[in-house]
Amino acid sequence: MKLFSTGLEQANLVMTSNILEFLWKKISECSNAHQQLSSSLRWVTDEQKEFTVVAFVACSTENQLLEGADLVSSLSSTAKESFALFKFLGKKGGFAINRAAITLFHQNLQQLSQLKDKINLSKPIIVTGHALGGSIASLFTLWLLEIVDFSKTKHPICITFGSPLIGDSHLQKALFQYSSWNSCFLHVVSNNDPIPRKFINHNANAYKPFGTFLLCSNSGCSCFEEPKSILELLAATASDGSPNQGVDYENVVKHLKHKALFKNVSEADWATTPYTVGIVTQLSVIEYKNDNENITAVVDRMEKQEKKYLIGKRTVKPDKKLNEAKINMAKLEWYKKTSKDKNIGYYDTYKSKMFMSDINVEEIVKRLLNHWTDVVEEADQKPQEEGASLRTRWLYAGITYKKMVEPLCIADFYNDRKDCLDSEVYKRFPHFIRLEQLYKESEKTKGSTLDERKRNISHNLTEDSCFWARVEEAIILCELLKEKKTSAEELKKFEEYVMGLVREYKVSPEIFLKRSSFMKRWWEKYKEAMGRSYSSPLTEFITNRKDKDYEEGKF
Amino acid sequence: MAVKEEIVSKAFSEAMGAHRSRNEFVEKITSSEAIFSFPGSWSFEDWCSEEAKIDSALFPSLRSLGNKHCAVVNKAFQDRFKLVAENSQLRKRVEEAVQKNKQIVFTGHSSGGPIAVLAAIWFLEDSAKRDPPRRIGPLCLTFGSPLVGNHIFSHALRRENWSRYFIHFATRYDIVPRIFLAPLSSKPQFQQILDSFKSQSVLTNLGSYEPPSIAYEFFKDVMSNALTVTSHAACKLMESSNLLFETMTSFIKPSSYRPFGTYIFSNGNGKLVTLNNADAVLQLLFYSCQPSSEEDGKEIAKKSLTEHFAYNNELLQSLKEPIVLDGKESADACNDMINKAAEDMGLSARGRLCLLAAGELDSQKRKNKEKMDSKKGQIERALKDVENYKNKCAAHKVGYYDSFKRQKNEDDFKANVKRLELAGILDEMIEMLKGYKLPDQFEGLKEWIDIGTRYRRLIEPLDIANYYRHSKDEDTGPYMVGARPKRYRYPQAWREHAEKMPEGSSGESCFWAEVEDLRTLMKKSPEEQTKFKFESRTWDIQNNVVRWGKERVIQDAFFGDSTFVKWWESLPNKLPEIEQLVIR
Repeated sequence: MKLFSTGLEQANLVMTSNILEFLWKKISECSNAHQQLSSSLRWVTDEQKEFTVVAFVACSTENQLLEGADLVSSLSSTAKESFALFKFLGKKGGFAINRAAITLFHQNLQQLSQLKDKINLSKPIIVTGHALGGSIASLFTLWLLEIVDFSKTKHPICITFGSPLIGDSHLQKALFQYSSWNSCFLHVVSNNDPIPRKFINHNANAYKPFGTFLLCSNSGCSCFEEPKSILELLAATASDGSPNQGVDYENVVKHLKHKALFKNVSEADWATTPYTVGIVTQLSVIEYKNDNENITAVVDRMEKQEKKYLIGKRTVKPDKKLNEAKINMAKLEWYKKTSKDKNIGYYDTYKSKMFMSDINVEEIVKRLLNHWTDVVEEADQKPQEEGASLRTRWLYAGITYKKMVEPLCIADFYNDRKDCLDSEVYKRFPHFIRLEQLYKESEKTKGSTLDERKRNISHNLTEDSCFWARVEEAIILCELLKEKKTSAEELKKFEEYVMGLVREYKVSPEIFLKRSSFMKRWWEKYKEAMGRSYSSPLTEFITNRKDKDYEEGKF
Repeated sequence: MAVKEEIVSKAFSEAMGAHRSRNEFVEKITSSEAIFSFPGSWSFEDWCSEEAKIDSALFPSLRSLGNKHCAVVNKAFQDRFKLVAENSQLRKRVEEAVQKNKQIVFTGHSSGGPIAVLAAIWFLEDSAKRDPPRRIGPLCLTFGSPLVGNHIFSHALRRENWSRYFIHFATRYDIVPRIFLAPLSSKPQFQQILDSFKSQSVLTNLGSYEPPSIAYEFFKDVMSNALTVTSHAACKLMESSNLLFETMTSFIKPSSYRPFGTYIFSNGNGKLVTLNNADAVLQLLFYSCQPSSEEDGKEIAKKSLTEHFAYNNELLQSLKEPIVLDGKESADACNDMINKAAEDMGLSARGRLCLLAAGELDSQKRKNKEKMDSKKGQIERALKDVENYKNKCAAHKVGYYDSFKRQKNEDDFKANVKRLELAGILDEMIEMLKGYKLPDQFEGLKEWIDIGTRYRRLIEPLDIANYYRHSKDEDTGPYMVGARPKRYRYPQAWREHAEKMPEGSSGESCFWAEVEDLRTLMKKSPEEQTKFKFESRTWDIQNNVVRWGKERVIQDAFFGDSTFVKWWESLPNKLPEIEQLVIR
């Protein structure tokens, strides 16, 4: 459990560096330089040695904000082309964006698109803006999240000054998927600035914050990340006096930068924990006001919320679990090998459940099933990496697991419904299907080449993990054929399927073991049903014992 | 180790005296000590320059072993020390003093301090190099010294257990110990400050000194930058998990200078504060100087310049007992020191939180080590099992590498499970080392170096066998190039450092990977063989085999049927000595 709350230190770090002053200067340059122009949105870019700055300024903010206070759904027909850019955020449904922001963005879409194309993406980018300009900065940064290749450059940073909230809970959720996305945003908010607080109570509290907030008062500043606390604090730190419409953030930053050097007079109660002391100090420096509630209760609540948030954010250390799974896989591999030595193959030994060792394997299979069901579920909820639910290493492990374990699930299935000929078919566990999908979707995984498969065929697993289900179905078909309840066509198709796998070196040579279901239960029956004179590539292959060559990759 | 107060005062007066000398150093021999003091300089170039990688020929230990990060130092100081070392009698004089069994003391005030520090490290490196190593440690006492190197510098000194020889005295408000927390290289102001120091250094009556008008601005600038550094460090101490600040820091580029060794601060009221947790010292460098108001700030700004010359009155007068520290204090003792420091310095709540966080991180590192220690039994048992496996194979005149690669018997399978079990434990340790989450000493601990070496020699061949069994080299290249796990790289680096072996020379555990690669290469075209240096690599490995054969670390390679022997027999150019090693 974390022992310290870091908001104060984060705020100090940002305040004492020159970065905020520098960005505010860019924003003022932009507003001053084009004052005669009447365009609704302006921007400047500035390429520094280490990074590129893009600063946005929106004009006549006040009216736009008043008129566009509601939320527009990404599924509506408004600003379609613009919403299309953010499609990657709404994979699980729609989300909504403030009307003023998306309208302004949409009006300038073409120029913004040119701007985006012009930016040197090899350098990190800092996007900034004031008020509604900051909202555009946020949208522009969201856009970059999909374009920039983060394996080569750093994430963009978006720093807004006095910007209103722009999205709903769905947008918030989409950004919280990846902590690296959410941590691209820093919103600087002064107590005297009403604009960032404008939509807090709008639309039945539909607006939700994302990113980190740097709340500034006359006495100091602190950073906050937990979204519920942010909403509460924004409301409870609004200045009493006549709110100043045009807050000059240059003065705010200058004042606080100076202030940071001096001791804060408030005294903490050291009888509590360091975490509590941290929160108390944070609330005091941002001049938190609340007449209705006891401050101890507030601190307590904030602390609980923040800790809960951090626990949720913590990425699990899954490597250790992966190692356990590896050990179980090694055990299965051994089981497979001993089965092969018995001339049966692990599918059939497992199915027969004759020996203690077969029963023991059940336990291993159960563990692996549980492990991977959890992993896949977790990865879908909280992707391990941007744009990829599972990291490549895990994906490979998952595919090997699928090939090794699914045959055993099939064995269990057909064991349970022994020899009854009704047409219930094997139903796969969803996580097998999902793993297959993820593997296909991923760009980083590459399938094996024919040469590689040839080389390794002796210990390769059958690529189609449902192979044995098809064998079982074919065995049933043989029975039906004997009773003349079906034609041979279906069976011939199966035969072709097997031969196709053989030609491609995609099936384990272990299926040709003498006592395997494939040979003993299917092939013998099939041969009998088709008659002596029947000849096909597969009959050729098996009668001539080509499987030996196959195992050596020389077929 | 106890440092008597007289030694400190003697060293101090030598250090101040050195400023008036024109020589590179001043030597003073007393009945029991030989004090070498180094003068400071007041010229801009002697302070400010870019940071440079440490000269690894002169200071081979100043790096992190597994992670292979080099220490970074102030280039001007390193250059100046090198001049002193090359052009003066220092080496000879020190040697003579050692012969006379004197306690060697290196000392310096102001920018003389870093030279004393580097001289002491040079002495320690030299002592360790000797055979047998020189046991007696030097003492390095600095007064108002600027910082010298980065966190790796500090990490490496603690790993070597050399940190305890360094004691830095700092008056509460002296600007110099914190001066490098701000970037100064482009500030003309700084020369004015140095000029002011220069004028103070020759004044006899310090009361008449007037600080320059820029003092307050300069002070604020240094402090503001120092706060960036300490806040960033504190975020890390408190385990902030927000990437935003890491990305930002890459633009902000806060100073990377870090303290090391023991610091003794005066608190301004006749009390002394002793602290040897480097993270806590860094925080204290800012928070002890933090003013409570504008007026206070102006007052402190003045003091920040005058106190650079007030060590006698402000600090040494308060030193009433010997300094006892051995670098092996318990977690509780360290936390007590931190609490006392926060108390005596009257820190703000924030400052105190930062110091507590430094103590907490230290405790966490100790806990991590305890966790690793608790797994030693499990590691030992697994190693024992694999050793039995190896012996069993040997009884059948089969090398366990070859047997494992074939995976024919149940024992091979069981060894594979052990291999995976061990990988899990060791990988966890590597993960911690990568983030510097274990105590700095860890990579120098004999018991862990031994376990690491045993583990590496016994288990790495199995990893290699597994790699080549699945022909992974055909997909991802040779084992040594892209696939060797860190759990083997790190322990090899530890051993090579501990035994003073050249880097890469203790590669006996990857012997099999080289054999496999050369076997593959042998089947390739002559052009390919020339390109990948088949000829010279074949000689190298044969020579190494003779050496390792004598050390008996690759015995399983010598069975008549082993992959190695068969390959060696097929070689056109055989090294005949190997024949005697083969077990027929």
